Amino acid sequence: MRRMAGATLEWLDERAAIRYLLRKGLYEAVPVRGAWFYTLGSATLVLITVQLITGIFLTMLFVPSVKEAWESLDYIRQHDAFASVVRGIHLWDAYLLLLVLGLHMVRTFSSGSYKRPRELNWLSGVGLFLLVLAMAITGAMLPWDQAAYWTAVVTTNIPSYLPLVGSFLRDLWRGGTFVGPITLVRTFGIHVWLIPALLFTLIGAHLALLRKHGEFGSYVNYRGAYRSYEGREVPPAPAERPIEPPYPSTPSEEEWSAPLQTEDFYPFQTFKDGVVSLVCLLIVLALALGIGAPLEDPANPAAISYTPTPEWFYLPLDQLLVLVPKELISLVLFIPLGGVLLLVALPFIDRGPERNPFERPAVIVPGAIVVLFIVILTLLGSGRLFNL
Amino acid sequence: MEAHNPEVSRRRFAILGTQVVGAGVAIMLGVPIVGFLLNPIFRPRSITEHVVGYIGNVPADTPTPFEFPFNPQSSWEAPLPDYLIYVVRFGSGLDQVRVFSNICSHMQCPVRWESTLKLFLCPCHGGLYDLRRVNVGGPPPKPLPQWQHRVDRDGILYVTNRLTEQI
Amino acid sequence: MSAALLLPLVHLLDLQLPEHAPSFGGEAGYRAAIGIIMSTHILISGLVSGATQLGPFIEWLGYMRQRPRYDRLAHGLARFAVYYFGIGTATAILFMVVLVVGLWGHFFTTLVRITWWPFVIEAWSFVLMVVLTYIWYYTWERLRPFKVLHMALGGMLVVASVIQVAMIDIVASYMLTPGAPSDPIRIAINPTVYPLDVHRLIANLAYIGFAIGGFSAILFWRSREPEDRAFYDWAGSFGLLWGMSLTALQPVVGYSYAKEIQLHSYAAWFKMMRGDLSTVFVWQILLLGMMFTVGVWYFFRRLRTAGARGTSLLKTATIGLLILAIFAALPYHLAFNQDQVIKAGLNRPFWEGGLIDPLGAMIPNKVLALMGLDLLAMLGVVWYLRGLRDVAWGAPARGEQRLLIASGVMVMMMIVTMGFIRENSRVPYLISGEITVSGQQDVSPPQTSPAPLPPP
Repeated sequence: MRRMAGATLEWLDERAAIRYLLRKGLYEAVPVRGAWFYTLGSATLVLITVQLITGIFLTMLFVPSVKEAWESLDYIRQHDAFASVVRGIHLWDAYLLLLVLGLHMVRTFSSGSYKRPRELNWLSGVGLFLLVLAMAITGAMLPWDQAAYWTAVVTTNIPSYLPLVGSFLRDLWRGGTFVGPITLVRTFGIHVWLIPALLFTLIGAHLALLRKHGEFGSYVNYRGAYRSYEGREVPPAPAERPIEPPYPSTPSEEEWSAPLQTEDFYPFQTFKDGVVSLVCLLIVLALALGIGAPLEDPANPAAISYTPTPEWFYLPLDQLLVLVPKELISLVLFIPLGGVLLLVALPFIDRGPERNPFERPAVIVPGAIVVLFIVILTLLGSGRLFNL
Repeated sequence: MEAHNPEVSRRRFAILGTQVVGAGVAIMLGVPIVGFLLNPIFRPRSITEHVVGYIGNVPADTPTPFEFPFNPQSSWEAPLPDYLIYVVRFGSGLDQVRVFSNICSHMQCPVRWESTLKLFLCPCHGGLYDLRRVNVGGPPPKPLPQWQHRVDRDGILYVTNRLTEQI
Repeated sequence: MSAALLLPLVHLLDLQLPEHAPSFGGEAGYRAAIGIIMSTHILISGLVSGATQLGPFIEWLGYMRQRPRYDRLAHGLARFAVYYFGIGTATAILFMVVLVVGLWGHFFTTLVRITWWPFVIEAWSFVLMVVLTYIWYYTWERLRPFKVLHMALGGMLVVASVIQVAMIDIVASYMLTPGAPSDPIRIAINPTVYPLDVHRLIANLAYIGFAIGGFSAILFWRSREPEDRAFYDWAGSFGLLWGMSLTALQPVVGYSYAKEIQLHSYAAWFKMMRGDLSTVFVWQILLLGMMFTVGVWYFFRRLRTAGARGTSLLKTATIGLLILAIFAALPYHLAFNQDQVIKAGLNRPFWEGGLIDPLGAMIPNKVLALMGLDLLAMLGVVWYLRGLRDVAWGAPARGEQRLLIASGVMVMMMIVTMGFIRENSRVPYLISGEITVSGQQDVSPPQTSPAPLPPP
């Protein structure tokens, strides 16, 4: 039995370089300390994969037509418990994905993992963040119940505040001035094909870049960390130890280029990744079984007493919409765009070598203020909606 | 000017050929796709009228809601729910009738008439419009949009599926 | 025993002990007395609250950065909390028990019956706070080998302190925008509780930051040892940084707060924004703008004294802040309130003979000015943090220390002004729409069946 396995491996190795691929994939070096924080990236990937899988099966039960969208979902709500759970997993996984993605961004921001030579990794990450947000909002528009319909109306209206091209972009998405059947079917195509295609490409680039430069990890793994501690000796460069691939990363400061101690990705990091991903999936499953995915009444523009409420991840923008007076209405678009621009510009603003977040207050303090600002707007928005 | 070299010009021919093929594929795919995406915006929409009723039945100075069957797009036949319109009569003349939509000028949420406030209220962000559709409070930047309508000699109100202004 | 000694003395001096609480000269007197006591309470307890929330965080920062000065500052904050906790709570007890129960008993019993659980939880969180403050302070050196345990105690103190603020905020926000009194969830999550929570928590943290700045300036002048001087110089800068960066969040929160008040307690909002209190609000925005200006001015001067880079941008930012502060403080009504302008029929720009100054319009001018103040203040913070690399602590010029004290004084004035605005906006109501100030002196004997509440 063993000999057959060995022979198969030889056969595959000669034709597909299996051994090389396995070694490259599984036995890459990762930094030792702070490894539980690095699991956030893989948790994000696992949650996106679950979205893909549940999404594929949802396309087998959902019809993107203005009449049958709600009816197909109402039918499974009443007659198909398994499909309802799949739908519930798709919803709660989306919510948890946004949270974990936010934590991943905070982690990579604090650890300075966007610095040279990993700027492209950060930029592809910003693109991924925007694409995931786009997936969340286009997905919310599909069920064509009251919540989805009004989400579609308000969301497709946002581009109209862009100067000059705003109305044109809105009509392009809607398929006309008003939301209607064309809007639903276009949003379906965007959600199921267009954005996932872009997502796959960017995820591939994100992972390839990660593999090229190696996981940066946390500043505590590097010689550079010791310089800022008063009265501590800087350990010598690990000259005698062989530098495992993929380190050292290409021209960078010598004291931040290779971690002092590394271990194999498999099994040490994969174990931690597995535990965190499992916890995430358990949470998603518990929420899907306990609460499930709601379905309101069918879309009805004539319902006099209906109050559209936004999805929770939309609350900061919604609170901005409440606060910004009509004379300054374009701020509603320019404040979030400004935020995205800051994200994109980050690796070019903070170019210094220092990776310790406690030694980079000029970057961490405004970043913390921005995060606090978003959290506060979310809290205020939730209070406002509760007291409507 | 480089010397005439058959190897160099063969390479240049292949490069040029690749570029032409790429451009050709892009155009062959791109034109139909872009055209299809833009088409619904430029497709002519048929104007239809809907009978609302006798204008005398609408009380004066009180926005009265009516349901309004409205196909919002030039698309295939689909069973669509009605829209809501508010008919206001400011006097006894046939030209003193206004037909307001309930589409808020802020984010297009559904606006409703609050008789206690004597104002139209948008529940999303607290926008307020007065009896004459003017935006008087909250974030809405423009007045409530109106539907084109006509009242015939017998006082029957007809509302068309066209707004009086671009929203 | 003391009664046996005192009573003959009283008899001897022919004193007349008062039969009931002093009258304070009527309703205005009561409100003035309560206002003075409450302002004192807030000025002290805000610092204690901030110290118990910021101190543990500074201790943790010092641990992560391995800097003994952070630890010394956190220890100082703990000592401050220990010393001043008592007087802060004593003013609160004086306020509540003596003044509010004695003078406004009807209101207070109604309030406690409605917000019973927040008061109970707050009382227990105070117990927890006191215990933890004392333990956290007195085990400082003993637990130094177990720093993580000590920081965990500090973390628990932060939690207790935040719970305490959250509970009293439920009571205070209920008074302004009452939710349905039969539903405990709606009592707690009433329309203004979250804005008040955020506004107060950030304000207490910013306040202690500015206070550290001001105190450090004074203590710097009094210290002689080089390490002490270096410490107080650094601490002053550190405190001001906390104050400035947190205050940058306040305009957004405050605007949101005013929006909820507009939607749920319109009379109070009108009084603040258009009525009698609008002039006081103009003073408040001037204080805010001046505080930002003084803060960034300090940043500019401190870097210049140390010969660090980045001073020219900070100088420009200071001038920009000063211009924006003056612009933001331009009054809209060149009269005391909007009603006076309308009554006089002068509702037009002053260059047309009216009493309106369109430059002082809230929307969009003041909003834009506030945004500009915020952005310039944050820019000042970031640029100062960049320049701190080149600063050696211990030798600031006198001007810097004066600026620290000035910013500390201004923040205290802002806190008192805000309290004044807040409490007077609700007048004549104690609970908006439900209980008024008059009719509180109900000293008739209790009836056999409970008296009905006054109609809303």
